[in-house]
Amino acid sequence: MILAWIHDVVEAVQSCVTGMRTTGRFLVENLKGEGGGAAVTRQYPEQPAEVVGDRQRGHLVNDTKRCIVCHACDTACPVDCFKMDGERDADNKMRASRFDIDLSKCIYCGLCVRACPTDSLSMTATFEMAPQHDGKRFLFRRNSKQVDVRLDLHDVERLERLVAMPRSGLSDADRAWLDERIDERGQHLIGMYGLGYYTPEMKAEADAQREAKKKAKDAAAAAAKAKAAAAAAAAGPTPARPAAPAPPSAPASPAPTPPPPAPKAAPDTTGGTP
Amino acid sequence: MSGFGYAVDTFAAWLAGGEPGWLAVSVAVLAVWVLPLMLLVFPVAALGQILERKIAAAIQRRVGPNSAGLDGPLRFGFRLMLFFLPRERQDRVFKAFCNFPPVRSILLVSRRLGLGQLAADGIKMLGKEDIVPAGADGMVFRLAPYLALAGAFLPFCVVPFGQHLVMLETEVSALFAVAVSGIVVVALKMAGWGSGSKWSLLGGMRAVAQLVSYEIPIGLAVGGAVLWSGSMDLHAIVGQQYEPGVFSLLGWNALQTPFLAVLMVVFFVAGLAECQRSPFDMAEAESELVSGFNTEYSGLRWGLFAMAEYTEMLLVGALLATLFLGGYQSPIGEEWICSLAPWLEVPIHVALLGAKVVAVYLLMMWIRWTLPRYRVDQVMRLAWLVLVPLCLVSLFGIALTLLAAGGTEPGEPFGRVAARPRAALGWLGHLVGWAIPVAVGAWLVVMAKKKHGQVHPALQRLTGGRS
Ligand code: SF4
Ligand code: SF4
Repeated sequence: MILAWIHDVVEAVQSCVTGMRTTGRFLVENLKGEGGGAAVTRQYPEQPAEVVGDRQRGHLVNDTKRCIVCHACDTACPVDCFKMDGERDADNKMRASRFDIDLSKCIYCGLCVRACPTDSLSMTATFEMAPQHDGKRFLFRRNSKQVDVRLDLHDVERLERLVAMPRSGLSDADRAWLDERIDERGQHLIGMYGLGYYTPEMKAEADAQREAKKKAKDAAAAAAKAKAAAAAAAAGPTPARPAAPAPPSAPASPAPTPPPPAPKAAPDTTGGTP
Repeated sequence: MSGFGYAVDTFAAWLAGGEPGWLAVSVAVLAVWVLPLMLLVFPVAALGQILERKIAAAIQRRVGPNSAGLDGPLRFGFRLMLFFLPRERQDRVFKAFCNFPPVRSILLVSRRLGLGQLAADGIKMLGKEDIVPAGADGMVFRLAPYLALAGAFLPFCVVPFGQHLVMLETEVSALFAVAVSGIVVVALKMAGWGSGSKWSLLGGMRAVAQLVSYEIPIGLAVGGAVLWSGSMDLHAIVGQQYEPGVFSLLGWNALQTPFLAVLMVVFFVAGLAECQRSPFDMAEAESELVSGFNTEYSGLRWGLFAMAEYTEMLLVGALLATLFLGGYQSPIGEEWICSLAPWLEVPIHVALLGAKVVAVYLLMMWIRWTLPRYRVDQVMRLAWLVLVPLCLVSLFGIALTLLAAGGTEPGEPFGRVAARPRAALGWLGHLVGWAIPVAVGAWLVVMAKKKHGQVHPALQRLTGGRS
């Protein structure tokens, strides 16, 4: 029994020493900067981040030349990121005149990309979208294949105004200015609002939409309840329980769950303030 | 005289210009001991936190805090000093100052070391809301952190820092140190009970069970050193370890007999448990108990607990050094250092003790980031079934050695304290005293390996023959 006890103690000491040796080696290597020591950590904002792989789900990019404004992405999106307007071009084809993705809401699930019938919507590997604090704020940093635009706040306002307008309505100078900020492959610059940057009008619009949606939902719920109550009353064998009076404003058919699309934002209200 | 040590006595006498009254003594105690001690121990304990983060990072192949430098506090200071200037001018002056090359390099180094993290953490802690939970027992809850800190801090009174530097000279200072650090037990129990939360209560229970159990190996280990030195006075224990000649390290207790070396290891392990450090931190096991007894604490009170923990680590280091590693003495050439003038000798001795304490401190951190946490029952088993028997065997061995040495003889005078009796072992006696226990121990280990060391064949296959 004593021998077993001694064996236990010796084992414990041995295993502790083994572990301590391992961590001690790490410690020394790391302090000396050898053996891959501290290099494991990437000092992110100073050192560029690694792009993880082709399938990384990052910033969304829409090739507006191919987009047909079918709203499939809009329908697929679980958090309602999209705002788009379309117009017919010279060939009577639908073209996006405005295509915004609110990236502050986006959860990068990729459902919209799958839904897109024309493959115009795609995801890039970019994930660095934080504004900087040195007076400039850049929307996107060039990483692999995304748009490289460095804008100050004034530029952002102008950009927002221009993008919100139908492209045909732009002056030549404005269009040139805009094209400069759209990368060479013709991808539409999107996601400005992804920085949580709302104009007051947009906020009002979003609020109104949310309100309408909630109302529609409530109405639908009330209608369903009334219907159920009516069914119960009809199926009940004895009229012992008086049938509940139907709610005064319950329509016969449930209200459509999705609200009617919000009216197109008037282009001149979006960017009125300098 | 008042018995508060040489430095206090002389200072008090100087203050009073004669026989000091209680007021002069209290002022002297505050000025000579409490303030310098606090200035010495608390910053080191605070620095320990940053050191720990750095070491943890290195062990886990990370970088650790490396961004917060001293620029922030400095800029704050500039803002305060230059309040009459507009913002931009302040900043310009500050930038000019920072670009001054020596300042710049200092700032850079401080940033690399993450020193500013200390200030940042401290300010953050001060800014936290001071919460007393609704179900808490207010006074007990509020008192606990101060008691914990006091319990960790008080034993420093009896730790000798130099030949004439010991605050409280009593005949029983070893007992005093062990007893006073027992306040921590009460404090943790109060924290656990007063919080009015089950996590805290359970954490407090565990802490108390653990601390009370580990008081026993600690007491026995201290008892071993006391038995060998023939005194309970820590200063005398240090004095007794004095060895004239070049290799003064040969006089250290840990090298006297193998039993004392074993006791040193036991003391270290038990001290680790007393500090609630990993792998004995089951009282605050996050995965089970949120944070144990300090779950409900926030802000400054929580900070006091953290400070108490680090102070206690320092204490264990100081006691370990004092009891087993020659205290403030140098490993070589102690005789020469003692012959220096006091203004030179005192800082050297304090620094030497500090170096030993820091070494123990680093070892504790290394262990913390290596070993996983024990289970509750394992903690208890370690205390009662491993450490206590080891202590008892060692005590028995020490007693036998002393008996074989034929009693003790007075040592040489050392400092103010005449060295106490010391076992009269010649070099031959030392050799025999080491050879016999080591031989017996090695034989037992070999026997144990032979009997119980077989590895299961499957395990052997998996590990490639290594056990
Ligand atoms: S990736 Fe973003 S925009 Fe696309 S469907 Fe998901 S949440 Fe909506
Ligand atoms: S699904 Fe594709 S094509 Fe349709 S609107 Fe969205 S991006 Fe355009």
